[in-house]
Amino acid sequence: MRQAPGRAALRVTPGAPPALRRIIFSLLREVAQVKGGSILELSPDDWLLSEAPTADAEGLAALIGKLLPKDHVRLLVLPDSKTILADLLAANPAPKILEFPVPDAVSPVGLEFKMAQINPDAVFLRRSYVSFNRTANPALRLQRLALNETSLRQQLGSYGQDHSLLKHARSEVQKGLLEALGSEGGRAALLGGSPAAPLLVDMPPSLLPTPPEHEQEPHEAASTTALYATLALDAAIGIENLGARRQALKRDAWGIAISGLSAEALSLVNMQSLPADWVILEWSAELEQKTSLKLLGQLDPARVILDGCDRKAALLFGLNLGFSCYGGPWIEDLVTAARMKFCAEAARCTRADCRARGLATTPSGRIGCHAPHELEAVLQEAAA
Amino acid sequence: MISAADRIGSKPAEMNSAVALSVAVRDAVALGEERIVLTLRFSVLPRARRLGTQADLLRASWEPLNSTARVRSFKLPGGDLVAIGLPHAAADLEYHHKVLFSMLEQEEASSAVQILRLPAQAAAVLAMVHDSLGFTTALGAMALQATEGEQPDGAAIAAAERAMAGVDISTFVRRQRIMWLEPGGANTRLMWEDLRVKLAEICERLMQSPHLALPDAFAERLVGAIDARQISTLARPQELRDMRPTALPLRVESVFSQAFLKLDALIPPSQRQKLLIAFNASDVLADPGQFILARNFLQARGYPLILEASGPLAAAVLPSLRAGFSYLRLVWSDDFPSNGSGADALLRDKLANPAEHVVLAGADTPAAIAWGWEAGIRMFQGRLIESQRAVV
Repeated sequence: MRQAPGRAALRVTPGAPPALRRIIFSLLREVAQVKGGSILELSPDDWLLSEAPTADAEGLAALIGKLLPKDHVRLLVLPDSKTILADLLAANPAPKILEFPVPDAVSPVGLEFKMAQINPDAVFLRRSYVSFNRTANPALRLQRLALNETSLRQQLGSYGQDHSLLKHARSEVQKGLLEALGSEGGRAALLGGSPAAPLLVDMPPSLLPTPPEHEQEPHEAASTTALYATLALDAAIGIENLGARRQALKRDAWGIAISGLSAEALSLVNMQSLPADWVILEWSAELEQKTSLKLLGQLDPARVILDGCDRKAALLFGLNLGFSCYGGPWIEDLVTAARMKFCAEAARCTRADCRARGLATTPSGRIGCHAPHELEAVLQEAAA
Repeated sequence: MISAADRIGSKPAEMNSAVALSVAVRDAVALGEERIVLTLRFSVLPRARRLGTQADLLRASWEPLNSTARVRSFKLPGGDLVAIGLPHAAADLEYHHKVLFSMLEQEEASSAVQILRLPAQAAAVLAMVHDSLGFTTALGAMALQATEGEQPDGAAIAAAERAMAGVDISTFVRRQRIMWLEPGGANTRLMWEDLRVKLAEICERLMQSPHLALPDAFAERLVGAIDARQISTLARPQELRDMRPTALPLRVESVFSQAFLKLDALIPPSQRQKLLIAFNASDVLADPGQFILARNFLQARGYPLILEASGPLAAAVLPSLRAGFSYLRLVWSDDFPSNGSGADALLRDKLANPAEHVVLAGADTPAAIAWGWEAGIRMFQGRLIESQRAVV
C-alpha cells in the first residue's frame, strides 16, 4: 500500500438494498481498476477503497454522497489518516476482497403446478378499515379482501423470489378471488356471511369491468357504493379511460380505490389527477419525518385510508391530517378488542385466536369461534 | 365519492339496510320462522319508471309500509325497496302488492313486484341483496375474463427465454429520429435517435404457438433480457467510438444490471449526456424507491431521463419535471384533439410538463404535428418524420 501524499482512502457504509450495493460496488471498482487500490469488505456493511488519487476519491465521495446519507461516506486523506486505516486493517486481519456474484435467474418451469397448489382463500385476509367518532370509538367503515403478500411469497417458494413471477402469481390469485366472489358459496366462505360494510376487492386492471360500448340510456348512478375495485397505483395509471370507467361503474354501485401509495410515491405523483373514491396510503415513519405537508396537502383527507398503522403514532399522524379511515395491525387489534368486549362467549377464546378468525377468509380459519355472528358483524353501530 | 349524509362514524344508510335485511332473513331461516316479504325492484324497471313522477308515485304507494309497526322496510343500494313482516301482516303486504302491481304493466310488475315467503324463498331474497351490492357485476367481470386467450405455461416461457439467446436482436430494433420542428420550418434539427425493440414481433417469433398471448409479468422478463442485449450492443468499442445521441427505453431494474454498470464504466464522462434513458411511468410507480435510486444515480452520472407515458392520465399523475425527468414522451392518439382525452389539460400545466420538453411520438399524420404545434410541442417522432428524411 503506497500511502503517499496526494492519495486518499474511502470508507463506505453501503446500506441494505441490493441494487444500491451493486451500484456502489461498481463505482468503487471503476476507480480501483483505473487508478489502483483495492476494495475490501471489512464487514458486510463496511467497505473500504484502500487508496486512490485524492481528486478521484473526492469525486467518488461526492457521487456516492448523492446516493447515500452523507455520513455513510468518509474520505480518509493519506498519510494523515494512516493510523485510522492501520487500526481498521488490524481489527480485520483478513478482510475479504469484495465480490458481487450475479444472482441466478429463477426459471418459470413448473410455476403453474405450484400455483395450482395454492388455495386462493389462504392468501387473502379480510381486513377492516375503521373511522373514529368523537368518543374515539372505532366504527367499521370498509372491509378489504387484501392479498397476504407474505403468505403468497411463502407458498410460491423459490418462484416468489423473482419479481415478475411473483407479479404473475399475484394477478392469477386475484382472478381466482373475483371468481369466488361471483359464486354464492365462495362469497360466503370468503366473507363469513353477508358483507358488513362496503368491500374493497384487489384486482388486476384486466378484470376491471368495461363499460358497455353503446350506452342504452343515460346513467343513473347508484346512491351508494358497495364494492370498490382496488387497483395498484402503477396499474391504475395505465388505464387511460379510468375516469370514464369510474363513472360507468358507479351505476352498478362500484367505486375505485387506489393502493400502493407510499411516502416515496407521494414525492413523485400528483394525486388530484387520479380518478378514485379512495386512496390507500401506506403508513411508514418516513411519511411523518420526510414527507412535506405540501405533498400530504394534495390528498383529500376524506378519501384517504391510512393503512399499515402499526402503532399509536401512525393513528395520531393521520387524525392530525383529518384522514378518514384507518387500517393495519394496530387497527386489527382494536377491532378484536371491541369484538371481544361485545361478545358473550369471549371468555372462552384468546385474543390471538379471535384476531386470526376475524381476518380469516375460509370457513376452516374461523373454526373454534362460538359466536360466528359477532365475527361477521364486527363493530356494528352498537359498538361505535 | 362520499356523500354529505355519510358522516364519519356511520355507514351509508342503504348499506346498513342491506346488511340488516340479510341478517333478518338469516335469523328467520335459522329459527325456521315464517316471514312475508314484499319487493319493489326499481333496478329491473325501465328508465321512465325509475325516475321522476312515476317513481315518486310508486314510492308514495310504498310510504305506508315505512310507518307501520307490523313490517320493517328496507331501502337497498340502487333504490330497491323490501318490506318484511310477520304472518299476521300478510293481508297488509298483499294489499300493497296489488296496488303496486296495478300501477305497472303486467310484464314489468311480475319481475319488479313480488311476494316471497321465508324461510322457503330465502335464497331469492338474499340474491336480491347481493345484486344490489354489485356482486352481479363481479360475475360480469368474470365472463369477460373467460374470453381471454389461453396462457402459455412456465415451460413455454422458459423455452422462449432460451430461444431469445439465439435471436439476432438487431433485426427487431427500430431506429427512429426525434426532430425539432417549428411551424415556420426554421431551426429544424435532429435531437436524438430512439432505439426500440418491437416486443410484439419478438414474442411472435419466440412463442411456439402464435395464438398464445404473453401475460404482462412474463413479458417483463423478456424485456429485461432485451434490455441487457441492447445495453451490451451500445458497449461495443465501435459504438462507443462515435456515439450519437440515443434514447434507450429501459426497465428501471435494468439500470442496476451488470450490463448497464459495465456500459457506464466504459462511456467517457463527456459522452454520457448523449445517452438518454427512458423509463415507463408504470414501471416507475411499481417501485418508487428503486426508481428514486436509479434516478439519483443516472442524474449524478449525467444521463438525461425521459418519461414515457402511456397517455395523458399517466403523464398528469406523474409530473415529469418534478420527478426528475428532462423530457416527456407522449404517444399520439387520434383522441388528443377531443376534450375528453385530457391531453390539452396536461400541456396547460406548463410547470409540470412544459411543452418544449415534450416529444410527440407516433406522429404519423399531419394532424398529429398540427395538434402538437398548437399545443406548443416542437419535438416529433414517427413515420411522417422518417419519410421526410431526404428533405431534412
